[in-house]
Amino acid sequence: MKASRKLSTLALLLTAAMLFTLVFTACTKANTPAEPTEPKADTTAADTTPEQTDETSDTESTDSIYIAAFSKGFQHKFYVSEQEGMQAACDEYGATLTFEAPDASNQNINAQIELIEAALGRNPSALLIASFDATAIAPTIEQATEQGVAVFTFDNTSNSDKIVGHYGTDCKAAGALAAEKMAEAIGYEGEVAIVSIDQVSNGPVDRRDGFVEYMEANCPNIKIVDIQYNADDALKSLDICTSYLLNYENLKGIYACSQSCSEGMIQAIEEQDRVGDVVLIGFDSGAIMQNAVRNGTMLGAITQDPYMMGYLSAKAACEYVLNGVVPEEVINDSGSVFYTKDNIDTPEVQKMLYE
Amino acid sequence: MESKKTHSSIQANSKKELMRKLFAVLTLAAMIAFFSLASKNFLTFKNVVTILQSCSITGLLALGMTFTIVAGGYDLSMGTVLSATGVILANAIVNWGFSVPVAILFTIVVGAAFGLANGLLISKMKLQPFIATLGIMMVAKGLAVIISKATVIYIDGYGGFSQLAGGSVLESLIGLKIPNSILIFLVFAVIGSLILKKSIFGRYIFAIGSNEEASRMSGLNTDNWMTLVYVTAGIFSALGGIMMTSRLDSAQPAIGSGYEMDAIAAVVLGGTPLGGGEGSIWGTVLGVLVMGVLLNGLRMLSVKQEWQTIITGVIIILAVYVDQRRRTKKD
Repeated sequence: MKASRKLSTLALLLTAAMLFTLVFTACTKANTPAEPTEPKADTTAADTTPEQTDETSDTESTDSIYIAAFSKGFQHKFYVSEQEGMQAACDEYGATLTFEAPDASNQNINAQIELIEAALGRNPSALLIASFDATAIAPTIEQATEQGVAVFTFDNTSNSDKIVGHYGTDCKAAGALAAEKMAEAIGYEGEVAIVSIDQVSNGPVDRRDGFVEYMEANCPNIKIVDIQYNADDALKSLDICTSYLLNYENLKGIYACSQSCSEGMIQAIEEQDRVGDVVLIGFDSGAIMQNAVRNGTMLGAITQDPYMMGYLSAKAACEYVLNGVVPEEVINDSGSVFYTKDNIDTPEVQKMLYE
Repeated sequence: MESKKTHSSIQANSKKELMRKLFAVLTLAAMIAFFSLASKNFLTFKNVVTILQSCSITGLLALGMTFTIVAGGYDLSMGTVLSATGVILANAIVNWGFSVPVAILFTIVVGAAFGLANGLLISKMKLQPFIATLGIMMVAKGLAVIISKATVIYIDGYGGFSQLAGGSVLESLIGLKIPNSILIFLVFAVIGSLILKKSIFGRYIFAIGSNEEASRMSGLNTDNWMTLVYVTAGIFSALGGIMMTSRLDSAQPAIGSGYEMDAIAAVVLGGTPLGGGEGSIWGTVLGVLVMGVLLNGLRMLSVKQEWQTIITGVIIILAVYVDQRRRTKKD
C-alpha cells in the first residue's frame, strides 16, 4: 500500500513537472534547453525543473542540470581521470554527472549507443561522448540534437557536424610530435616500425597518421617498414614488437600508439636483450611506462591530459546549458606533452601521468 | 560380444586419430616450409622460440579446452578466467602479501573454483555448456575489473616472479636459452595427455563425450565426472593466467577476452571435433602450433593485419573441412 501511494505521488509530481515544463519552455525558449526530469526518479520528489527547485526544497538545488557522459571503458585509469575532471567542472556549476561506459565484454559502438539511447530517456541537459566509432555515432548525435540535447565530444571526435564542441588531444599533432622526437633520436635516417591499437578508432588512427605524415613530409631518409595492430592487448603487442626486432635487423626505432602497445613493446625489447639498440617512443602512461622511461628502456612517451579533457568538456557543456556560451572553436586541443627521463618528475608532467 | 565391438571401435578410433594427427603434422610442415622459403628470418632459433612462447599461453587454455570438448561441451569462460586469475595472482603478490608459491597455489584453487561453478551449473543444474560458461565468462570478466580496480597491476620483478615464464632453466642445464614458459606448456601437455589417454578419468571423459546417457545408464556418475572436467579446464585457465602475468610482469584485466575462441580453434584444428567422444592432447598441441606459426609467419611477411585475420579464418575453415570430409569418407 505504501508503495502504491509512493507511486501515485510520483505520478502526480511527474505530471505536475511536465505541465510546469511545458509552460516554462514556452516562456523561456530562448534561454536553455529545459530540463524536465532527473536521472534518478527515486522515492522523493526528484522530478523537478530547475525553476521548481527554488520553490521546493533546497536539498534539490544541486540537481539543476544533468550532464550524461559516455566513455569507452573503465579498464584504464585514463577514464577515471576523465571522470574526475568532469566531476570537478560539474561541482563548479552544481551539475549532476553520470559517467557510463560499456563493460569490458562489450567494447563496441553498439553497446555504447544503447547506453546513450537509454540516457536520452532521462532527458539530460547535455551529452559528453567519447565514441568508439566516429561514423557510427553520428546518427545518435543527430537524434540527441533534434531532441534539444546539446552534444559535446571528448577524447574521440565524431563525423557529425551537430556537436557543439570537442575537447581532446589533437592526435595528429601528438603523432607528429612523436615523429619529430623519433627523427631527432635516430639521426634523421633509418627504419622505424609502428604498433597501434586498431584501424578504426579515431584517436589511434590519427596518432599513427600524424607520425606517418610527419615522416613523409620532413624525413625522406626515414622509412616506416611495418604497422601492426594489437587490439589493446599488451601480449599481442609483445609478440608484434618481438617480430619487428627479429625481422628488421636495421630497425632504429619503434613507435607505440597506446599504453598496451607501449607495455608490450617494453617487454619485447627486454626479452630480446636489445635495450639501447632501438629507440622506443610510447604513448600514454602507467607504472610500467614511467618505470621504463626512468631506467632508459624507453626514450620517452607522449601523454594526453585526460583530466583536462573531462574538465574542459564538462565546463563547456555547463556554460552552454546555463549561460548559452557557445565555444569559439568546435575542435579544441586539451594538450599533450613528450615526457622523458629529464622532465618526468616535474610537477607539470606528473599531473598528466597516472600509475 | 559387446566388449568385442567396443574393442574394435576403439581400434578404429585410434587409427582414425592417427590419420588425423598425420594430417595436422602435414599442415604444420607445409606452413613451416612455406614461411621458411618466404622469409629468411622465419626459421631462426630466436623466432622459433618466439613462436613457441606466444603459443604457450593460449596453448595452456587449449589443453584445458580439449578436456571439455572431448566431453561434449566447451568452456567459453577460459579467456576471462585467465584474466581474473591473473589479476588475483598479481594482487596476492603485490597487495595481499602472499609469497609467490602460496599465491600461485591460491590462484590455481581460484581457477578450479571457477571451473567448479561451470561444472555444477552444467551437471547439476542442467544448463547447456554455452549458457553456463557464457555466464561465468561475464562474471569472471567483471571480477577482473573489480579486483584490479580497472588498472594494470605492475609486479615489477617482485620475488623473481617474472622468471617463472621468462627465465630459462634449460640455459643452465643444456645451454639453450629456451624460456620456461615453453617448458611448462610441454610439461602440462604431457600431463594432460597422460590423464586423457591413460587414466580412468580420461576414459570416462571419452565415454561421456560419445554418449552421456549410455554412460549414466551403465552406472557412471556422469555428473561428478563432468564437473571434474570443467574443474580441470578452470585449472588450465589459471595456469594460463599465471603464465600471462609472469610474462608481462603485470596483470592486465583487459587481456584474455577472446582467447577462448583461439583455444577452440586450435583444438578443432588439432582434429578434436566439436561434439565430443574423440580427440587428443597431441592433436591440440599441433593445432596450437599451426595457429602460432600462421600468425607469426604472416607477421614476418608484413602481411597487413586485416588480411592476417581473413587468412586465419579461411585456413581454419579449410583445415576443418578437409579433416571432416576425410573422416566421413572413412566412416
